Amino acid sequence: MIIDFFSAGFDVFSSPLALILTFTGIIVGLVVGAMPGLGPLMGIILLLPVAIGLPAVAAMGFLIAIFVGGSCGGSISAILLRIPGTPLAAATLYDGYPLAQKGRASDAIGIAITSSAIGGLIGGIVLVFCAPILANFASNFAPPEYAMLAIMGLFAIVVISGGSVIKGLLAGSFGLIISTIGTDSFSTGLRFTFGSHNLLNGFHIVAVVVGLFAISEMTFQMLKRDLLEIPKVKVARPGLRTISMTLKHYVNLVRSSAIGTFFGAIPGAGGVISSFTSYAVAKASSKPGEKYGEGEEGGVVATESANNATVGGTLVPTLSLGIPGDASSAMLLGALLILGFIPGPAMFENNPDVVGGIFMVYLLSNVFLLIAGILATPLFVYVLRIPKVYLIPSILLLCSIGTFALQASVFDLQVMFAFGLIGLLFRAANYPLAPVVIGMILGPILEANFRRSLLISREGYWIFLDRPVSASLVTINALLILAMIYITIKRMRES
Amino acid sequence: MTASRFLSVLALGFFVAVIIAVLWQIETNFKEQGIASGGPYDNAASFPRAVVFLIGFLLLIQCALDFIGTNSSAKLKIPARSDLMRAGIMLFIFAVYLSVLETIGYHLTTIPMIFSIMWICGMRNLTLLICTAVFVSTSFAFVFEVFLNVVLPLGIWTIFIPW
Repeated sequence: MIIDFFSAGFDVFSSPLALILTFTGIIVGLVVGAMPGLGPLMGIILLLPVAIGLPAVAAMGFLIAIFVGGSCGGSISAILLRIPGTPLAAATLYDGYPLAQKGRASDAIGIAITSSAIGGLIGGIVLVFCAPILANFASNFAPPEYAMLAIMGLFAIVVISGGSVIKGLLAGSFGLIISTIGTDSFSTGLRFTFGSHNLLNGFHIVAVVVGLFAISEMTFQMLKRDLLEIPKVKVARPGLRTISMTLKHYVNLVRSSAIGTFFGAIPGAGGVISSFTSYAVAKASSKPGEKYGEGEEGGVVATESANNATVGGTLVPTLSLGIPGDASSAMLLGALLILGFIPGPAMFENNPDVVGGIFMVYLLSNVFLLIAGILATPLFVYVLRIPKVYLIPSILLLCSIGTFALQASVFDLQVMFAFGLIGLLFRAANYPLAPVVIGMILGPILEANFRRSLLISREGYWIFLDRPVSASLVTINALLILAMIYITIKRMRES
Repeated sequence: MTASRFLSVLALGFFVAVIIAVLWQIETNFKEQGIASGGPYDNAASFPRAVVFLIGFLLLIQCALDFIGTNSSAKLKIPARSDLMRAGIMLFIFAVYLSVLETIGYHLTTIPMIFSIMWICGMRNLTLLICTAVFVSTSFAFVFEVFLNVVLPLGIWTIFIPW
């Protein structure tokens, strides 16, 4: 079965365009990951308009490689500057920076890159084996299961991703409302279009996401006073010997990758939780004499292998169920939808070439990560020296022409700017942005399957409890609601 | 009112505005189209209505939490007025850029936009400012027009670079 996917996807995977874009994606990912304030999500968002004009597997290779490279790139600035390029690399600070202080910055970066690549490959193996099994299981799902699954995806992200549960739910609900704008697929009535033909298909998700994340982020960057500063960074050149240094920690590597993959597969958990958890486990299982927190190689191995393995894990529910694990995988899911593929069991059934191609580009991107990471680290270190004064207008320009290029529409630019202001308000008032995107993506799935369930039901809402899988998902959703109430009350007491 | 409380109220006000807009549309436009009631197939209002009721319920809880002082945004660090001004001016320049982009065209608007944002970031080296603005604008146009076949806004004077 797995071989079938690989053989079906080999032709599209082996096209020069797909290979070149996967490699380019790794370079772009490492650059955006290394730059504090950007990260893999921002990289995917900024280059989504470029990707959606490409063939499916080449586009997904490009975006997945940005995700993979970006998840690792944050470690470079964490090790050299003590500033994690992304929250994913925050745990790498514990041992990466002390290693650099001991004059072993090149070793630390090499270990981080090798661990990320191996962790990603382990995550990839799990993806290749588990996604088809899960998709096969989900092929028996009917509208009630999908409706409950969509609710579960939204709740899980709100519960696990931290911050205020109520604010997370409000943000997610806002995403759900945004998703209803446009022509209703059942009644063909027009909803919230206010007489504008631009709104007949709703807002373009890329315009919304670019505005919410990129414009608001650039505005927040403008509030800082280091716009002209050139960070002082020493050149690091990791060698191939760092691969053998990493492999010495094989138990830690496999264990941390397993933790990362597990957390990746749970919607909402993501790389931050997995890297901190694997670090804690590695520290707890350390041998006498290993001083975690003072520049121990094992600390870097644990965090970096875990956060890249998370990428493989997060692709499991994204591809097999159509339920994104985090905001980055939500963007990948959005890209697949724009490209004309609906992630889920049907994609495994009808488009094995695309599924196989995605498996292969993901595995290849981790191999490229190792090669590009080890060879081109001096380039990424150089990128860290670029002052923000050059980056901010460049990113704003990329946002503008990228969004314009979607449909050659000035309306999309207005949408982008308006959502930039909404993103600013949400960030300033501590509302998370990721649930908005998840809500926007899960909204149509939830509504369509909810209404379909009621259409086929003879007993109204009881259809959600009549079916065993659906009833189990209702129970999980009920438990998640209880968890949300518990978290809210606990935080109330703490404050 | 503290800045964090103001932001919190502003965000809650935003959600109230969303609720009002949705319910107003359901009561007017949806009813005119005959999609505000009926069974699951015809009732296009059921899902948005349910979501705004959820938003309303969550708003009440959030208001209560804010009232009893468990607002997490209380820890908000307020930037200096000059920093806020810089960010505000950047947003204003960007808004102006987006609004005139189609009329004046990509090349005539992008260079001044990049120049002005770099200027408000504090860069004062005119040669570097002009060179960077021209280089960034032209290189982006090259990538998008040549590699991605995107026709960037030409403006009323139809200005373009024949690559």
